[in-house]
Amino acid sequence: MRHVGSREDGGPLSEAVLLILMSLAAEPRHGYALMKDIEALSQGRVRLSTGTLYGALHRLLEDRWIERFAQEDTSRDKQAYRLTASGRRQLQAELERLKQLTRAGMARLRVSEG
Amino acid sequence: MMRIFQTLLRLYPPGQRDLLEEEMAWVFGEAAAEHRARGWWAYARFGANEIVGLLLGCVRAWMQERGADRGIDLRRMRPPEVSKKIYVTALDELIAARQLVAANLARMQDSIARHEFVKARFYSDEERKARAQLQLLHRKYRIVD
Repeated sequence: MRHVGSREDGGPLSEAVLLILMSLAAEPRHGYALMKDIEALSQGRVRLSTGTLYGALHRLLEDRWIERFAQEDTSRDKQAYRLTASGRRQLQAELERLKQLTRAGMARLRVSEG
Repeated sequence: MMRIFQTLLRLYPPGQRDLLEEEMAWVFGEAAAEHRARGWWAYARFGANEIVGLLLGCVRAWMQERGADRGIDLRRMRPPEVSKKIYVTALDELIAARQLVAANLARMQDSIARHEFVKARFYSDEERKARAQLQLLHRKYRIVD
């Protein structure tokens, strides 16, 4: 609905949102694990602050691209996040869009070099 | 630094704060401990980044709150400024969420009556999740109670 660059708006996803969805695509994670995984995914380039991370998570929850559940693997219940079917579809669509853009960009580079 | 963080968290809109405050403070605490171990320079940079992120997040949260669709009062007819699509979607989602809460509550009570406490615990957790989802929908569509 009011996503930062949501597909419903016709625009690309913000980098923070894309990285969160990518991170959750592999497995559910809690906030801190998400933060660390995003840093690893971006090879240290992106380190989301707590405010940015939770702002994005809140919007994703509202749009039901992700859902929250209690992870009971520790002494205290941690709230973890996982992708919904809708979130997975949005991620696939965004990755397709990026793949198409990369293909087009590489083709142009080859033309200019050849 | 935790005190500054918690003070800034109070600036967030109540809905988002109630839902995520405790979790944000926990995540911040974990990240702060990690950066403190890396030395004062890393810790200072981390602190500055967190404060800026929190302030920006707060501004975004309030803008989102103010710019959201106007509230829906389900006791009245659909107001003209609320689109039919949004109204119908809100109704559908709310009805489904309320049914889920009621169903889980009934199953929990039934399990207790049968002394099936493991099942009762499961349905109690499911009911809590369903209630959290219902609250989220109330905030999303700004339902006027």
